[in-house]
Amino acid sequence: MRAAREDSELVALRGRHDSGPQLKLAQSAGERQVIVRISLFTKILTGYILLSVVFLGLPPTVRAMGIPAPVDAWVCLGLEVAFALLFAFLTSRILSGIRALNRSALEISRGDLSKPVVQQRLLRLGADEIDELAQSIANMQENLRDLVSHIQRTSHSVADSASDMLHWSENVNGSTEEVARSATRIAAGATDQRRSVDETSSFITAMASSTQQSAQSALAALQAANATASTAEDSGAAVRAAAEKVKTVFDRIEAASGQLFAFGEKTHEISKIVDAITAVAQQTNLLALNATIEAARAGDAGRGFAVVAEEVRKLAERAGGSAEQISRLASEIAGRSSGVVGAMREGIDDLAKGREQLNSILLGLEGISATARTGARKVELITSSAKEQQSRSEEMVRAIEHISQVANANAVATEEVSSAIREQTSSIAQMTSSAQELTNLSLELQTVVSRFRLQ
Amino acid sequence: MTGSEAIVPVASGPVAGEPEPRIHVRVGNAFFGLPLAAIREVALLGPLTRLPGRAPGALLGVMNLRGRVVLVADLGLVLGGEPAHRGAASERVLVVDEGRRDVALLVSEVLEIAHLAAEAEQDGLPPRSVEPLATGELLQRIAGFVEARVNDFA
Repeated sequence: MRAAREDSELVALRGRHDSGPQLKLAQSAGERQVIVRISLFTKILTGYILLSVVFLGLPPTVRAMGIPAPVDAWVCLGLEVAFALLFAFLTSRILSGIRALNRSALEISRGDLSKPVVQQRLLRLGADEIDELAQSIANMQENLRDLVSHIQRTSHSVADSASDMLHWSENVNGSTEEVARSATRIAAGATDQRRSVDETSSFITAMASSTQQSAQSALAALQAANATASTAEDSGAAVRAAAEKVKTVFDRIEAASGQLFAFGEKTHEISKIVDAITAVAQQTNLLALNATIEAARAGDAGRGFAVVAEEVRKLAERAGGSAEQISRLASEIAGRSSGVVGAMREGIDDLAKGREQLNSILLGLEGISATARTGARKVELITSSAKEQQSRSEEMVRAIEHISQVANANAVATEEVSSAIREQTSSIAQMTSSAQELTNLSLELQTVVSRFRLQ
Repeated sequence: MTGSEAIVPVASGPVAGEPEPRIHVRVGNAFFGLPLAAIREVALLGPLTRLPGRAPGALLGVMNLRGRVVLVADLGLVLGGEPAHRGAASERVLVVDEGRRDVALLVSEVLEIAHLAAEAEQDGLPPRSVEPLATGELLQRIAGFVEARVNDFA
């Protein structure tokens, strides 16, 4: 691209070289109006002819004017010398441009292209070869100036480009090193990834097998929960039957308790009667004793009565003893019956508590049954989700294997990238040295070109 | 009433060859045979009224016996032994004549008339060591006791 542009510029330059002088000539022609071209040869020849004509025509002319001889010879000589001097003066005036051109050419050869080519002449009699030479030198100077400035620009831009390239290649080098480090890291990461993928794969496989075990356990739990629920329902029925029986026993015991209460009341009555008998027997005993005492105090007269009184006392004593026995028995019975009643009350209380406990057991069994049913449903959910989980974990294993393959491919690709980067690094190093070389060359070119002064 | 013919008749007074009839009583754990002649009556212990201003000693108080006011004394304490009064149902009072006043002696239990004791032994009851008290001695003691106490009381 760049080369093509330079080529086109060169072409344009060459075109200007070709067209430049004509253009200048045309311009100069335009400025100076019309200048008739008269060659040097023509001018010199014309001068000689004129001088010859003067030398030949002068003596007759002087003689004709009437000037006496010997004076006319001196006049003729003087006039001839004057004409010769005029001729020489004019000739030198015409050739004066050559020296200026010489100075300009010298300056150009020294590399100073800044000064304009001098075209001033002391006497101009039409355009001649000197003018053409001056024009050519001017064209040459201009073309040289163009060329040198172009070379300078080009070398500057080449230096700039080379330093840009150097800079860029250094950047690229840095980036490439960065990329190489990244590639190394990627390679290490790929290795890690492969290892992680292997670990994950084995972990997921283990998880899948444990999920299978969970599913089996969940199935067993489901059966157990169902068995528990049915057992709890059976137990509930048994407990309901037991509660019914307890209620029957409860009623019977309450009836028996009422009868026992009545019996206890009766024994109290017995006790009262026995108390009355005891009191009577005591009184009788006392009376008999006192009768015995009276009889004893009455002496022999009371002796028979004493015997009778003693017998009465004994009878009373025996009656009292029997009454005491009855009383003991009755109180014993009363105590026992009240004990039985108390025990029955306790029993009734216990039965009531038992009924409450049976009710709570029943509630608890219903709760167990419901809980077991709920648990069974949940276990069914668990079983199905465990199966789903199992299939998903198998999918995961497959996906992980795929990932493993991708990771392997990544590792290989990363290795390739690394080698490509190494190649690129060496290429860039070459490019860097080339750019350095190019910079040096362009600098050299600049020093060469800098000999030329353009302004 | 079988065997009543075999009972020896009770003598009213001290007869030679025949023991004085006694009434056997229990006082605490001791047994005494009191002469029947000194006893006028055996009665149940009625409600006692304590004598005011005195510490309860042998003289337990007074009781109403068929409209008469009778002094009640604990026989055990009168005899200088352990007290008879423990609130048992078998407790009786033996009313004795002592001068102007009636005195009731509280015993733990009245057992039997003494000449019938042999029969009791025949019934298989264990023999008891009964301390016999002479009429005079008993009355003397009671009199002394009552005199001292009642004077104190008065």
